[in-house]
Amino acid sequence: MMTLRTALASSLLALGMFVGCGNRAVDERIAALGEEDPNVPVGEFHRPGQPCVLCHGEYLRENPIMSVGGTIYAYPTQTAEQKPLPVKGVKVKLTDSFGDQYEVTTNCAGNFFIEAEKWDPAFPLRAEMEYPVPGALESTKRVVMSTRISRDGSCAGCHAGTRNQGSPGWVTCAEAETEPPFPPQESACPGAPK
Amino acid sequence: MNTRRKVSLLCFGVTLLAAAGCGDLGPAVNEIVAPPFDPGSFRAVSAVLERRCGTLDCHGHMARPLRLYGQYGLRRFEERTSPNVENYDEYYSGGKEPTTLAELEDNYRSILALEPELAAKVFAKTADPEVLSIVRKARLREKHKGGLLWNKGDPGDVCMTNWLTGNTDTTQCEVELGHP
Repeated sequence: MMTLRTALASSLLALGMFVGCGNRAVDERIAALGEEDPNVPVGEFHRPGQPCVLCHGEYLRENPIMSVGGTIYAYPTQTAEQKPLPVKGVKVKLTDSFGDQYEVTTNCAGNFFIEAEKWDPAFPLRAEMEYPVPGALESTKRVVMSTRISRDGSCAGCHAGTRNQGSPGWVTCAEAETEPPFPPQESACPGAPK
Repeated sequence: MNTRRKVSLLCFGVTLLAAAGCGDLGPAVNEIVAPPFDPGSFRAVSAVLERRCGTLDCHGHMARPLRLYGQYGLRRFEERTSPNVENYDEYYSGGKEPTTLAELEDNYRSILALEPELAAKVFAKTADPEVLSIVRKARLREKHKGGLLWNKGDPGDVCMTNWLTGNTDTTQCEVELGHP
């Protein structure tokens, strides 16, 4: 029969294993994302420009679990203070290593995501997008990512902030501001400047 | 001599010996025989690795072992005044500044310093290239988070093993770079 001492030791061991199952590196990256914007309800418009799969992935399993997710902006920002302009209606087309394709469109926050239960691709992925050309009715322009996505389904895992020696900057439609300019974000969009 | 004095003397002797023994740590650099750093031929090999292994979410990530720098991935940290960079405004991941000579040399060291003694044996042709983790992982003969990059004999594999064995023919590297 199990003695009290053995039971206590087993419980402590189980507790230790439970506590030790986290991944501190990921936990700290998640913590660094900060609090929710109080003006944006949790949902498809929240946390634009942040690495979606960090929370909506296999580790934290926030619902819905995503295979790929990101935010598309109009053009690169020059300073850390400059707020990037999200673009609605950009078609994001991904092709996995078996040639399977999936297409998804950005919402008014520039966000797009693919639920893993709908498409769970085999990495690496080829990514391209087609954005509505400002001022040209029903005209679109195609942009192809120059490298492959090797393993991180979050665009913002690599594409974040201004361009620097560790990041190509936000995912953008154009290389610079265009004329005519991209339309401003819809004011009714959650989180948009009023 | 009482016991306390004996112990003190013994301790002093041991400390002296330990201090003297720590003085010579040997050479700071261990030289191995390996493929020479020839930017002419290595640039093609590096380009293959930059594209297939060195993306920002894999070996182009600061925290991952086998760090690889490159034009489309992680850039080697440089100040604006650095003589290693020609066009600093284009020196960012995906910028127009090609992989610099300093980045090439760091990639060269990164690859060979993984298993230097084995790399020397492969270069001397006294061991099969598959003794090297970098060769096995790309062929998925060993667990690799990034999966299978190429099979034995594929252009990327030949590019890599040619260079490791001292063959400067980079034709297969160009073939590999031509793949979508």
